[in-house]
Amino acid sequence: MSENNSSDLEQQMTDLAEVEDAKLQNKGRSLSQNQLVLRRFFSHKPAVLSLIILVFCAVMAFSSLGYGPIPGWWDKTHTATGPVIDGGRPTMFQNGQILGEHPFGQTQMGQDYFAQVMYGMQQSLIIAFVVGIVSTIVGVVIGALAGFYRGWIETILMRLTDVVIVVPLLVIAAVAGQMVGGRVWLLALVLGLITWTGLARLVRAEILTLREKEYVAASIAMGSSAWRIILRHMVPNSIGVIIVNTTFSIAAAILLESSLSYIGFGVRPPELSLGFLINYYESASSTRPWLFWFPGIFIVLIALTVNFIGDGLRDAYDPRQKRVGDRRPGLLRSLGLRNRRAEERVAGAGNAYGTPGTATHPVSASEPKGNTMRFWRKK
Amino acid sequence: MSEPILSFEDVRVSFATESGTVDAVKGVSFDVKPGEVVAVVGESGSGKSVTSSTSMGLSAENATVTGTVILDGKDVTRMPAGELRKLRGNDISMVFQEPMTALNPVLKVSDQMAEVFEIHGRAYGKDAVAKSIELLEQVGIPNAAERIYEYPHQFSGGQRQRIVIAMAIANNPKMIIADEPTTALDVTVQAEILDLLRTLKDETKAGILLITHNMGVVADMADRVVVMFQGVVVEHGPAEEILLDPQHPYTKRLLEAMPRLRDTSLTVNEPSPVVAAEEVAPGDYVLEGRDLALAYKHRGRSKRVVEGVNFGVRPGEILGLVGESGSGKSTVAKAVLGLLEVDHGELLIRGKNLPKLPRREKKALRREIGVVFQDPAASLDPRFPIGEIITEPMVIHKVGTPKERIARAEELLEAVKLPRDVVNRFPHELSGGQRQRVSIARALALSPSILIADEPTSALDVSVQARVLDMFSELQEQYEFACLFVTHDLAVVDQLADQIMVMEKGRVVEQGRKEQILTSPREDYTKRLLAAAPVPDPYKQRARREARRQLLTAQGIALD
Amino acid sequence: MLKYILKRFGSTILVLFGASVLVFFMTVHSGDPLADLRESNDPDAPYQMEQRIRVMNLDQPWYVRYWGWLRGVLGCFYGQCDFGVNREGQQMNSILAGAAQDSLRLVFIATIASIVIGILIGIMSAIRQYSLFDYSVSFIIFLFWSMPVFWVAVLAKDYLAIGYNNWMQDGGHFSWPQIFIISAVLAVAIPLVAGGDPKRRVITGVMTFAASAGALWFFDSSSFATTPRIGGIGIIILSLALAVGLTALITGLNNRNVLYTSLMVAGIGIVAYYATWGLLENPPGGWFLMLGLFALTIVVCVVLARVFGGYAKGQATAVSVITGTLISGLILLDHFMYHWPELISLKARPISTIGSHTRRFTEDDVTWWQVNLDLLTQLWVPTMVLMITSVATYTRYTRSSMLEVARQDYIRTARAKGANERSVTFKHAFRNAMIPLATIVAFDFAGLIGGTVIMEQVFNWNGMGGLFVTGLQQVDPAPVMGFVIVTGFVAVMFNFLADIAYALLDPRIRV
Repeated sequence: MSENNSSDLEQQMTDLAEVEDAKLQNKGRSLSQNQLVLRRFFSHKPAVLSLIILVFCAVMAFSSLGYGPIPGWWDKTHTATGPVIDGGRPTMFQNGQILGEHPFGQTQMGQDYFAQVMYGMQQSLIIAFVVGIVSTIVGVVIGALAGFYRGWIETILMRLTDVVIVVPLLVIAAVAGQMVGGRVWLLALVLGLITWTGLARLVRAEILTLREKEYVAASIAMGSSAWRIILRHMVPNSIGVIIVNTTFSIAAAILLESSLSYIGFGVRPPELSLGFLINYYESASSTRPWLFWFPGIFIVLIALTVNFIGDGLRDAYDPRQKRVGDRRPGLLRSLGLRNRRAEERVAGAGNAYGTPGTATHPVSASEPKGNTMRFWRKK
Repeated sequence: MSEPILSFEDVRVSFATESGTVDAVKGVSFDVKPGEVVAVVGESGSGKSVTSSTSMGLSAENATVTGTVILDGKDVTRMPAGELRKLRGNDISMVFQEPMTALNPVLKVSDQMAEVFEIHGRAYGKDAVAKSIELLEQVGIPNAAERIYEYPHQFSGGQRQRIVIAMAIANNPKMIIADEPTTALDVTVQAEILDLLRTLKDETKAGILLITHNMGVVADMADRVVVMFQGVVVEHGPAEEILLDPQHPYTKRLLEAMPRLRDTSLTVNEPSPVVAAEEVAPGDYVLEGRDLALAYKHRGRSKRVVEGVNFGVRPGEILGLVGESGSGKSTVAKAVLGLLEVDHGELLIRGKNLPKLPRREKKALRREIGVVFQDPAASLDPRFPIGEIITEPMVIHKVGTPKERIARAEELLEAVKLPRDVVNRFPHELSGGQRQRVSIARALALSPSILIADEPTSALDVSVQARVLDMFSELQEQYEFACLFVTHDLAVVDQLADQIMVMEKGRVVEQGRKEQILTSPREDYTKRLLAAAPVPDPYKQRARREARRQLLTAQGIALD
Repeated sequence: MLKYILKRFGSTILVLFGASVLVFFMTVHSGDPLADLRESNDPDAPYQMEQRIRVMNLDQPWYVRYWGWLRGVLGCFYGQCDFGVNREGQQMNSILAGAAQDSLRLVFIATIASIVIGILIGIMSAIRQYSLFDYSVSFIIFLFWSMPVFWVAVLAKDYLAIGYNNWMQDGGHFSWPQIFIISAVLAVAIPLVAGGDPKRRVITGVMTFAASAGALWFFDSSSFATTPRIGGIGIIILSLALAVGLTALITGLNNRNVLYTSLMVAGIGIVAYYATWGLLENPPGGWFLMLGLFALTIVVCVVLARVFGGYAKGQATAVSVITGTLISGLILLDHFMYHWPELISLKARPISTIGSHTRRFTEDDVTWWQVNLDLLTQLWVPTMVLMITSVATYTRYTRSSMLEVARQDYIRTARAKGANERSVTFKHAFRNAMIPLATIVAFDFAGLIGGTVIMEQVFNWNGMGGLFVTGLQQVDPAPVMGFVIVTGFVAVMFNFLADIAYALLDPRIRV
């Protein structure tokens, strides 16, 4: 047989294995999973735009006022009062100036509102990111342990998840917020320590699927330690779930913090956050609407951009849900005023919804039908 | 002969994918006449399934179809969706590959069956259910009048495929497309389903388009054969001609590649001489199981799936472990790999009882065992470059310096006939066969004395499988490892193994030397298993079919 | 199966117990319950302090206080509930009863409405995947997920509610530009959802524009905002349209059995409209009568479908029950509309932005209809705001679940049988897509309860949320625990229902 093989190689290609091997020879540069993910992420326009906006907001918040001992470029502070000019109206884009003296206007007491909003944004961002990081670390560790070892860790995790069903997160957070009494970093830490259950559940589910993967079985059979399997195989392969959900948890954290501050159990004076500003100036919303609008818009902006980044990351990690093939449809097609392709419609696939075969896995993206799966036996 | 019922004329299909347009079918023409079975044969990427789905207007969303498909005088490719729906399930119907997922899990079988009649206005309500019961009886579902009110998950895989077939023939279609109808089934079930299809073909006079990769199935069923490769028809003609005297080199390769089972005598009552088991000193076995019992634990309850299994593998020998799904063959492999605790009995590796060893010694002993799994898509960590995958066992057992490891990886890649620079590539760039070769390379990294291969080729195409199997025997000669080779395919065992152990429902049915088991099996189950495997020769297959029928009658098993 | 559900029920009750210990402990240790009195200059303060220490048992360790509270609550098992007293010494039982009514009404309406609306939009979005409609829905989902609920609530209060009041005070008229803009938006949106080829979409658009402009003009000239009515003719037309439309949507019009059944339901509905008019004018028993009549309607619908459904009993039941429910809703709506002018005459600015109901309205001086109409008027703005996150969640999950199901093999099987898209979507895809949603309901419900805390702050309701917030501020465990236990118990019940729904949807987990 083996003689046959070598002589066949000389002939024309009439063997699937040869075709595949030839394809492998002709392949260009190799891309790792991370590189593929990055490439897909950067082709997701809303996510990239969101990333730019978010970075811009963060840079503005921290550079304008500075942080700690580092000074910023904005000459006013969030506490200093001053004379109220023009009823405290915003000067942004007024009279031909871009920012002006008080771009976001002034409070009743003549404080510069730009400085207050920027300061609030700093605190809100700090809380959001610390919550995101803390809850991710705790969630990943507990989720991974629960998924790998099952047993009592898993039971505890599931019961803790049930707590969230029975007592709303906001309620637990409010009680916790009341306990820490408005200290920003402590509040962030405590919120992180109560919001990890969701991620832990997802990581656990992911680890449970990964346990069934043959490369994990192979690694166990080779004699690797549990640590090696968790750290080298399982966590890296659930990184998509982890990163995406960290992003979403950051967006959720910023909303949770502002809600808490609004009902009075979050950030408290002398510190302030965006949610606190809304609460504080709520009564002014009809007389000085800008005091109410600016912090709200920034909360929405941060949460929205973070959510979009999360969506882009999800598409990048799991392109199954995303459309493959030609580019996003143009305006006329989205409006349904132009059909995709005439011949396709008559072929009976006119309705985009759920026509079979649209599932594309990262593995088979270059093959039209995910060929390797075709001859699977059972399971 | 009569007019064709279905004809493809210069059909082309291309898919828009992430990496550009892929032409899957490049101008295919052939036709099917009433009452005829035309088999479309090909491997992955041949475009056989894609071609057939154009005739139902069920192409994928990102597909572009050109050319014409004419069904009973009507052009299907240029038909409005509404008219096309009237054809589907009525004039043309389909049997799918995967019976486990082809039925809606939340609807009763009665609802799903009756729907076929109601959609096309043939019968409604009680009448439709009554007709469905008749059909189910026709396709051999026992107790149909009661069972029709059950849900799909309460039926076995073979029974579900029968239900799907019943739905396909409900409205007496002129054309039935069977897309790999038996690929997901066990051999014995496959033989039954093929019998059923053959009976139905004669009863309904429908044309059948049979899509398959299995030449044995072709020999068993087909009147004419169309061979496809990479989107083109390379050869077509009557089944006898194609199978016995192929012209195109690809067809030749394909037939050559198909592992063949030797001729067996399947007579029933002839008492075969009982060969005394060869006496082997216990120390001779490199891997031995003594009275093994294995159990899965679920929610604190444990369920025995394997019981009373004894086996031994000598150095440099291959033991083929054969069985159908649910036989417990993979469970035994798992236990040897330490993925499952041994419930009872002993599992000796080089004379040491593995489960009872202290942790350190256990780990050291793992060096002696290499493993190759079934699923090429899942057996390599997608985040590791190939080099790291192959060197993983060396890293775990702290063998060699990083440089030496990479050198070893390149050496092994060459042994499995892959280019050296593959070390820097990632699994997603490799095809299924290439990944399985990488798997083998990894298994051999520490030159183990035992290799566990759990269905290593069953997910691969025929020609790729042939290549991997060849390579496997070569490497086995070279590295002289003992091997436990788990498979469902007797022909593969015939090609590779020295010893055979047949399992059914968690127990060993028969074990012994390959020649003895394959030529003169003693147990009924082994005989049935051997009789059910189709061979790619229409004449021989006809004889085998007859032999199987006699065997089953003799064993007192009712036929449909 | 039942055993499994009961086990889950039991374990969530235990979780509720554990959570109550945790919340009690945290609340008690969250500050100084005497803070206000310590800073007080009132000469009476020391006495008040002593009194509060006695009422709240502040001299006891926390677990003794917890045990005292728990004993009272455990009394519920033999009919003697005691939720303790707050720091003023008032009984929590009566306070909680009043507060729970307002809050739970808000949560229940928001839950039901979010599920219905979210699932409908989700399905449409999945059917029209990659259309502008789908993209807009996806964007709006993200926007809704990113909006702080309290901020939206304040905006809605200040602009929507007050704007509506102003508009009503001015007589409730549309101007021509308003009519034009609304019609134009609808003319773009509806064809997007309806689908079809380009020509059909243009025709639908034009027709939508004409219809909505005509309708708005009619509403305007008939002063619909101040004197709305559906009226007998409206009820007749709408009932028949519902019967035919729902049949067309669910089974197709050529299924005569279903069509006739639903038409019969419509006919009975029309007769009932006139027959019950007098009875409903001053309904004895209020909502109980309404519920009774509704139950009767459902029974009639089911019986009709069983008798006349023929071979399609199941589908006939679905269609007739939905038709019956919607017609009942129409009749109720017409009655409310009939009483609207009276409410306007009593209250020219119908939405009060403070409180859950108008205090001067009691059933003694105004009719049942006005009391409830007032309640509903106060309810719609907070409900809408509370719903935004939930609607986004349900839409998103329904959409992705539908798309996931649409990839399954059995959907292809259904198409291969020749089933049309309607049957593929509703018969084959829908139920399967609902299975994963059952688990989300429980989580979302908790989120909505959290949302009411905020909503009650914004709209100044004296509900459970208010109890919780003041209780927590005053480090007074009784109101906090009352909130936790009542909402927690409702959540447990809801979770229980979700588990049952899950088991009903998926035969595979039934044993």
